[in-house]
Amino acid sequence: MKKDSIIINALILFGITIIAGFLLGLTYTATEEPRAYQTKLKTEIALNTVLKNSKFIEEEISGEPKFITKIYQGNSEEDGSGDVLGYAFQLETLEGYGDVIKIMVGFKTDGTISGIDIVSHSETPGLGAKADESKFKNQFISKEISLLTVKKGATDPQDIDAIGGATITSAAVTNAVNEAIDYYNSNIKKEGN
Amino acid sequence: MSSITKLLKNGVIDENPVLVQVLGMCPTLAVTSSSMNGMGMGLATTIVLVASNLVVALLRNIIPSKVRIPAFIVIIATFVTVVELLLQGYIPALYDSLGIFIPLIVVNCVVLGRAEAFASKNNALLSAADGLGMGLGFTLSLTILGSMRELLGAGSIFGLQLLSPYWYQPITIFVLGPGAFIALGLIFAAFNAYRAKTVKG
Repeated sequence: MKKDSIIINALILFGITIIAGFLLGLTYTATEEPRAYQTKLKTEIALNTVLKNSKFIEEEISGEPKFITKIYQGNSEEDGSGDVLGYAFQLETLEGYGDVIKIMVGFKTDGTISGIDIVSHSETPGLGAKADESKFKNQFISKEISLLTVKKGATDPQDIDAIGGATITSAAVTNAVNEAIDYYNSNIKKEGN
Repeated sequence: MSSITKLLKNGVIDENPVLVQVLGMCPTLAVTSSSMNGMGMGLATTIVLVASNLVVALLRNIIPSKVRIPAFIVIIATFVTVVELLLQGYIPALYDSLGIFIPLIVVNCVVLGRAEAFASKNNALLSAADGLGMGLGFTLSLTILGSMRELLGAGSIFGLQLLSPYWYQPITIFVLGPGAFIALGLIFAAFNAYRAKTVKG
């Protein structure tokens, strides 16, 4: 057989691909634990930012909300037997300027928003990415749990001041939070909590 | 030993992948909105460059020339994915900010270009040195570009606020797409002026 026959070429390429595949599988398995840990850590940090000193129990989502991906009850005890301190909603919206924006929002049982956190986003640095800065996020703290409006130059107590040059991002975050507000008011508050 | 230092200098100055060869423009323009992103992308590319150059050089007598390009791409893509998985597991902050640009290292022409032009013709040690030199040149260019854009566009470098927002109005366009072209053009001009002077001397 000739040295550069198509069969030999294909076999060598095949061999390289097999070794590459094996190495990838190895790395994937080896990094599986730290990667899962990082994802979990991020969610936990976000939960503790929006609702302090709580143990979280995941709840079922009723209906088919557009943005809500997870709902957690914040309880004073690990097994859920203690006082309900509030609720945390994990939201995912595609209405931003980049990819998915993952948001965590917390509600306190006294009827106010305890805070929001941006878990992950791909917004433009310097513009939409400012949604992850405290100047924007802190606006949500202590607002009443009723629908919010995005505005340039907030005046009303329920107004959120849009980030300069990033109205789309500001609206995307606020819209998602509004869905959580709506869900909380119609599905959770009624239960007498 | 002197040939290795020569290769390093070659990558950083004489044949700088960005400023002289004008290769890898996609990540150069896209991720350099801040110094940190520029440097992170540069270092991630450096790791891939050194590793892929090394392996390509080791396999240069085994890989048939007719299928060398797919073989190079498989090797490069493997290292990129390994780097991506490692970043995701161990340096999540950098992984978050580089996001979709990490898989794009696969199609960065600097990496394939060095495999084809250098590593497939030279021994492993020299190829690794070439990869390191090119990688450092790439990192340096991206860090300078990122710093310039961050300074003008947000008033800071590596997140450190240097120009106070009280008297400096950030030129937002520099952290956006068009600003990347403007900043890169200015850096090209400065680098060429420096090169013209040293070559004449």
